[in-house]
Order: sequence, then C-alpha cells, then structure tokens
Amino acid sequence: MEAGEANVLTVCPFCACGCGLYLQQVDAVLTGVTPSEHHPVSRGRLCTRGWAAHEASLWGHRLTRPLVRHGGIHEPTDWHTALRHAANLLTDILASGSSIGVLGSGRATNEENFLAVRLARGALRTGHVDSCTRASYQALLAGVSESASACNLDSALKDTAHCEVILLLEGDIADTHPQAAHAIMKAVQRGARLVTMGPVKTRMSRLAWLHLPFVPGGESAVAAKFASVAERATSDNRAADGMAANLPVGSLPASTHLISSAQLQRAVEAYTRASRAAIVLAPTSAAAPWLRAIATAFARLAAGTRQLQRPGSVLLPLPCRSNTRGALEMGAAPHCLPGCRALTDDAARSRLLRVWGSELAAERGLDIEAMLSEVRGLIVLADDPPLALTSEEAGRRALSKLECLIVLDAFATPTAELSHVALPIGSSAETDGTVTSMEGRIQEVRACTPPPGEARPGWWVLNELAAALGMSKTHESAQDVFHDILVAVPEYASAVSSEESTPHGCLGVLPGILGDPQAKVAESAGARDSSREALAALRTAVDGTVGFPFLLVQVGSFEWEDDALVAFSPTLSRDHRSRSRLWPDGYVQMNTGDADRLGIRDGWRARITSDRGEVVIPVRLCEDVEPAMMLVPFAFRDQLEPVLKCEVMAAVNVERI
Amino acid sequence: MRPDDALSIAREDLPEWLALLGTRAQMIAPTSGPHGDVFYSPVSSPDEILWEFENSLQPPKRFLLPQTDPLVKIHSDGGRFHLEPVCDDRRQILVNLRSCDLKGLLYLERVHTYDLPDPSYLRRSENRSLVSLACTEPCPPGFCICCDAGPFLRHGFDLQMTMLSDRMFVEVGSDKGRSLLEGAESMFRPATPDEIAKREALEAAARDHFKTETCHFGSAMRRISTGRVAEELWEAMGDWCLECGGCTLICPTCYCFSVKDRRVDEGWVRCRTWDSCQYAAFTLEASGHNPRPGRKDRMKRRFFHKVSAQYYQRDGDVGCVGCGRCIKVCMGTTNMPAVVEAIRKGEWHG
Ligand code: SF4
Ligand code: SF4
Repeated sequence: MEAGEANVLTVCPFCACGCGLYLQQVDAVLTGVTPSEHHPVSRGRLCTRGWAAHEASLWGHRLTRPLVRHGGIHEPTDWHTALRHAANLLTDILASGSSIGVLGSGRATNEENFLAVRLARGALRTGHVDSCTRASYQALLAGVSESASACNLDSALKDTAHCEVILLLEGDIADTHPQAAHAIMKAVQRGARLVTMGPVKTRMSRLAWLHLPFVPGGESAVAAKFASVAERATSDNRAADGMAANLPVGSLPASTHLISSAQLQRAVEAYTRASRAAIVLAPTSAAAPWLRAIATAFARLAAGTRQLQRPGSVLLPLPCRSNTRGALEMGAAPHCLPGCRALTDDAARSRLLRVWGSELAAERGLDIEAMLSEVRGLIVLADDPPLALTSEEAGRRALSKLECLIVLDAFATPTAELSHVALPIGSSAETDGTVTSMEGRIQEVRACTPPPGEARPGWWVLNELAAALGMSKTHESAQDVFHDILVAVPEYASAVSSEESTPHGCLGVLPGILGDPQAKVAESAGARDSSREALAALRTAVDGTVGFPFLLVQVGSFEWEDDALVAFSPTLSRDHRSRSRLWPDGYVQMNTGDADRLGIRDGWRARITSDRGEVVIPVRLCEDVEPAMMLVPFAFRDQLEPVLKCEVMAAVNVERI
Repeated sequence: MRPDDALSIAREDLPEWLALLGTRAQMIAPTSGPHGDVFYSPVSSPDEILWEFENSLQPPKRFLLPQTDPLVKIHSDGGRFHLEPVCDDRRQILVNLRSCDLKGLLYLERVHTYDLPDPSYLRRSENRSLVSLACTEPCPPGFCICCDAGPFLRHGFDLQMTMLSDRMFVEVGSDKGRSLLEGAESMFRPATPDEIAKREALEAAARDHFKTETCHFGSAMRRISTGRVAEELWEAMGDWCLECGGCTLICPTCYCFSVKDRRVDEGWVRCRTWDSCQYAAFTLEASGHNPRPGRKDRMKRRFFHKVSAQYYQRDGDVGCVGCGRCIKVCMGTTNMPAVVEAIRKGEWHG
C-alpha cells in the first residue's frame, strides 16, 4: 500500500460486541471506516456507531497538550512539568493520610486498565480502584456464574443466531448491542421464538413471539416464576432440584401481575423443549443487586432445565462498553485482583509482584460511588464518571470538591474540564493494545493515526505517572504491557497461546467467564438479601396504591448520548443534541391511554408526586409503555431526583397542570 | 463494437503496460488486505493488483466521493472570512473495476452533473480513468443483470477488459480510454475474429449464470411508483431494519451527505461527509419535527428513490447496480432483493 493512505484493522470502540473494522487514513488524517467482511463477529456488518468510529477522534474537542490548573485556569505545559505536578499533588494527599482512588475504563484498552490498576494497587497502595460500567456487568456475571460457572461464551453470538428459543432481557438491545440484536433477528428469521422481557416494547419486541412486560426489580420475580413453571414442565428430577429455592416468589404485585400465567407457561415450555436455546441478559437497570438476582434466577433456569449442557445453547450477560469486560478482568474493581482473583489469592499476588516489580495493596477498596464521597484525590482514565453515577449532578459536585483530580483522556470531557491536571492520551484510533469482547475475544486495537499534538499513548502516560510515583519498572510498548498481562492472568495466557495465528486481530478467545469461587461465595449471600430488600421495596411501592396509582421506573444503567465517543461525533450526536434542545428539563414517558384519561397531551407538563417529593416535568406519550407505568430515561434521573431520591422506582401520582 | 475499439494484449505484457500507466497517474486497484478482505487502494506495482477476487465490500466510490471530503478551506483575518476551494487534481486510473461498480460511478456522475453541477465531484471525475474487468464468473450475491449493470458492460467504461485464456481482450469506450494505450501501441493488436467470438461466448455464459432471476425491478417499480405498496408492508419491513445505514453507505449509487466544519490550525476545513437517509436524524428539523419519523418512512424513501419510475426518469436508471453489497452489510434483513421481492409479492416474512 502506498504511503499516504492506509486501512488499519481494529476493533469498534463502542459496545462490547467486538465488531471488526478498518479505520482509514489519508495523509495521517482519519477519513472513514470500512467494515471487515471476514471478521468472525461482524462479517461486514456494522451498526451506526461502528460506521462512525472515526468521527469523535477526527471531529471531537481533543486534549492536545498537558494542562495544569493554576488559579482556576488550565494552562498548557510540558509533559515533565505536568507529570511532576501530578505526582506532587498525589504524594501530598498520601502524606496527609487521605486516600486516593483510581478509575479504569470500559473505553480504555486492557493494557491501559492493567496499568491503571498497577498505579492504584502498586504505586498508590490502595484498593480504591473501579470503573464506571463495571457494577451492572459484574452483577450479571456474579449471578450467572453462581449457577453456571462453565457457561461458554466463545461463539455466543453465532450460536444465538441458531437457537430455537431466545429469552431476552433488554432495554433496547437494537441500540445497546446491535450485533447481538442482529444475531437474534437472524434466529427469528430462521423461525426461532423470541421472548422479550422489559418495561417497554422495543424494536425487538416487534419481532417477538411473546413480550413479557416487567420492571426493574421485578425480573427476579419473573425469573422465579419461570423456574417454578420450569420445574413442573420438566420431568427431569435434577431440574426440580432447588431451582426456585432461595428466590423470592411470594406475592409480587408490580410486574408479575402484568404477565399472564399462560404466557409464562408458554415461554418456559418453549425454552425447556428447545433443542438449543439462548438467554441474553442486558444491564437494564442501575440497581446491581436486582441485576444479580435476575441473572441468578435465569442461570438457574438454564442449568435446571439442562439447556446449558446442550451444544449451541447460550447464556450471555452483556457488558455495556467495548472493554467493560476487559477492564474488570484487568482488575479495575475494588474487590478483586487482575484475572478476577480473590484479594487473598497468594499465587495471584506473587504473579503481580513479579510483573509489577512492587508489593501491592490487596485490601478491598471502595467502589466508584463510595469513592467519590470518601477520597481526596482521584485519577480518571478515559471516562466521564458522573454519566454512570446514581446522580450525575452529585457526581460532578463531588469531582469539583476533590483536592486533586487527574484525568487521562483523549477528549475534553466535562470531567477533564474539572481536572487539576489533564494528561492528553491517544483515542482508540491512535492507540495500540487489546480489548476483550462480551464473548471473551481478546482482540487487537491498532493505532491508525498518531495522537494529535503532544498527546501520548495511554500506556506511556500511565507508565510515566507510575514512575513519577516511584515505580521502577517501565514498558517499551503496549505489547510489553500485554506480556505482563499474560503472566498476571493465566487464562489470557492460555487463550492466547492456543491460537497460532491472529486472524482478524483476534489473539485468542477466553473459554468462559473469569471468576474466583471464593469471591463468589463471599458475595452471594449479601446479594440475595438485597434482592429480597429490593422486592420488598417494590411491593411497598405498589401496595401503597391509594393516592399513588403509577409506578415510576428509571430504566437503563448507561446511555451513550453524553459519552465522548458519541457526543463528539457529528453524525451520532444529532438526535441527542436535538433531544436536549427540545427537552432541556428532561421528560418521563407514559402510556398513551393513561395520558388520555388524565387529559395530558404529548409534551405537556405534569406534576409527579411520590411519598418522597414532587416534580413538574414534561410527559411524552408512548404506546409501548405499559399502562400504570411511567419510565424515566437514565439520562434524566437527576430531574426526577426529588421523586426518586436515588432509588430506581417510586409509586407516584400524576396530575395535569 | 467497432473493429478499432477491440484490441488484445498478451497477458504477460499486462504488467509492463500497467507499470507504464503507473508512471502517468496513481493506479487504484483491488488489493488483498489483511485476512482475506479486499480493498481498492493505491498500488505501486502491478504485482499488487488482484485479477481474481471477491469484489471489495467497500465500493471504489470513495475515490470519487470520499467518506470525509474536504471542499473548502476557511480562514479569517479579523473581520473577513476567506474561502479557498480544495482541489483534488490527482490523476488516478481505477483498474479492475467490476462492471456494477463502474455503472455506479456513471450514475453518480449523472446526479452530480445535472441540475446543479458539483464542481468538486466533476473535477475528480475528470481526472479519473475507469478500466473495468468484465465478470466472466459472476459473484454469488450479485444480480447486476437485473439492473443492466453487468456482468459485461456495453458502454460507459474508458476501457473494458475481458480475460481470455492467454490474452486480455480490451475494448475502448472513450477517448480517455484510448489515451491509456498511448506509448504501449506495440503491445496491443486488433482483436481477431476468434477473440471477439470468445469474448461474446464468455459474456453469454456469464449471463447464463443468472438463470433464475432474484430481483424483479419492473413489477416492484410499477407498485412503488403508483403507491400500491401497503403501509402495513412498509411497517413490517421497517421492523427488520436496525437503522445501521450500511446499505446506503456501502451502495455504489448513494450520495447523501452532511456538511461539517473541522478546525485545522488557524482556520477550518468544510467537509462533505457520507450520511444516510436511513438515519432518523438525517431529516430531523430544528423544530424537532421529522418528516420521516419511523423506520417504515425511511425505508419507503430509500426504495422510492432507488426503484420508482419517477426517479428512474430523473436519474436515468434504477438506483441499484446489483452488486449485492447490501445483502452482506445489512444489520437487519431488508436488503434490495429481499425488499423488491416482498413488494412484488405483497408480503414479507422477515
Ligand atoms: S454492534 Fe457494537 S461493536 Fe458492533 S459496530 Fe455497533 S457499537 Fe460497534
Ligand atoms: S443495511 Fe439493513 S439494517 Fe442497515 S439501514 Fe440498511 S436496511 Fe436497515
């Protein structure tokens, strides 16, 4: 290929499906995207986001020079000064006995996350390390691995496309995980029966054989119902063995009354009888304990009906972002070491000692929400954390109160604006490394163009920062870091060594979910309890129907719209920009028939009252919302705060004003 | 075919001729990218050129209409803005184009010529020479024969090549094409009657491949042009579209665009970028009103432009060259042959 133009095979930076694409550059400027026709996941297909994978890097507001805040103003400086300044700020905080946290990212590579964890546990000697989209994914994983530790994901999407029955828990998978939606569509085209489950009818529901309406918090009840119907439906004794045990089945008014027993019976019978069937679980709610309970219940259903043992059957939890899974497996989590090893795992610790060249803090740290209220210093890698927090506004307030906020990012995000030191790193189009897809594919990300201005690859910056904090070992390249990962995480080493070549940049496929049984047992009891609590809250909300006849539910745990990769893409940000211009105060969605009865028209403002407080907010009408329910998009959770008070649902009254 | 328009060259002489062309212009040809993916890209030696290949997923359209296309440089000196057109004057010879793709470029040339001529596009096209390689073995997903876009072309090319056993049959379709032979006259000779007969036989055999038709534009066109496609059918088909835009971005005849300004140094560069009528925000108005709010509305729009008699008259052809790419890239299932068939039969089953 002649100089001046190149097509570089890499991985889509958005969701966790792991589609392969070529970024194209002419004279070192990104110009576009070409799908990879033979890539095993995407086979030439990309969603809207994939097609715009070059846009944020090209059009976005980029950080191009290290910035240091002086007197409230960011001033450009050189790398040496910026790094020294950052190290001094951090050392001062440590010296004063206060704590520092580090956030990895589902938008960063495995290498960057691994080094961020090294920075936390190695250089800063703290367990306060997490990443934004970890909690919801981990909740699903923990639930799944309780009952189905052997679940194989390595060709989950391909297998799903050939399943006969698919149970899909989703918000709107056609938007969140389009390649998975495609696999399901293919299955439906081949005659599969699709059962969608969620609070609202989605694009996939329109293709479904059955739609089972239920709300976050009700999933586990539905799953428990599934399990008990399945017990009856199967003659296999093992199936009956405790499937419904430990699941809160009692009287569950909110969601389960929406579903007729006949519908449920049909879904379960179809699932049980299918020669291969899939359960696909998206992180539909920000309430992690609930997600965990749902995943547990569905995993039990899958294991109890022995579907999981059938070749080609699938149980697939979906991570939000391209490398949410990798970030967790690199150890960007307060409760485990890289490789999802227990903090007490001596073998894991000695492996880390070997590659990090330093002792490490093996204590359990704070998660991201707790961190923001406790730590005085925070290092943020490639993310805008408030977007994923219970309250975005409170998150921003917390960030602005920090004594030291160090941000490594390619983009001038709102978090970078608040930083004391901003360190510009290459975007996904300018970085070498690897990411791990939802199926466990360890795929290469390749730099197509050099980072702009003074920006440097993330691994380089993390190395330098660690060095400035006294870590001796450094790396020469992203590959060098990957070699350390292979030592630290044996599953990665065996996945990689089992592949001789690297077709389409896939270095290897992990056989299943990584996870430490110890960690699971330790956590599971607590999670089941909180699931009971959650259901109790739901019951209260709905039992108190006198005066509060609607159930207001916040849906989703992550929205793309404000994310830098979308917000800085001219093509992808159009709908969202228009939405925030038209609805600056946010809105809630309501069933059209309900609105008619109350005399509320589309776009009118209504007063919404719960026992916690009230707000006045525009209402948008939607046929696909269930009667007696109102939905709060995740992006508008702050606007509903007076009513929800940081919970994901409330029983409310609605009045026209 | 006029006798002096039909020539042939020994296959072993091809590299020498192409190398000669390479000294006059940048050569764009199908190349083998990593992992079996084929790309049209600049080549520095004839050795890199593929002669037998599965057509590239990305059509060569981008050499005329790049995904990000700088049009105007803008800078300001205090109060005044200065505009300076960005001119792509590179000479390029596109070699081994598939018939359908060449037909696509002719379509684009027409839409950028009539009504409001597009100087940026036309300047590029002026500087491009199009050399096609006739499809003696039609590709599996293709249905070019339904669109009069292959497997062989009758006109529109600068040169059309057909691979015979030991020689390459070369048809000259334009003066631009003839100029590509200059300096290589000794390598070419008029085609013999036998070669002409072989070429005709190859074309007949290639056409024979398409025995059972997959795509019936005629009856679909009648229904679409007269509004005889039920709303329910559009709606049902819309349900099977995931709005990725792939079908239009990858289409050799699609040219929807947006305009965006990119900050560069002290000024801006105004760029035309690919866009898709399948994106909800493509027609979103500032008021929030969207004339095509639903998937069915956008799908209807896409097929009305591509298949209606109204547009056939305006654009001079159906907006489809039968390359089959939309079958490969579709995130859903609503590719051209599937939708045309559904319209013809009045029913859709996914
Ligand atoms: S499905 Fe996911 S990975 Fe694939 S192109 Fe879309 S956002 Fe990227
Ligand atoms: S390629 Fe298919 S899914 Fe994508 S916009 Fe076109 S019709 Fe819709």
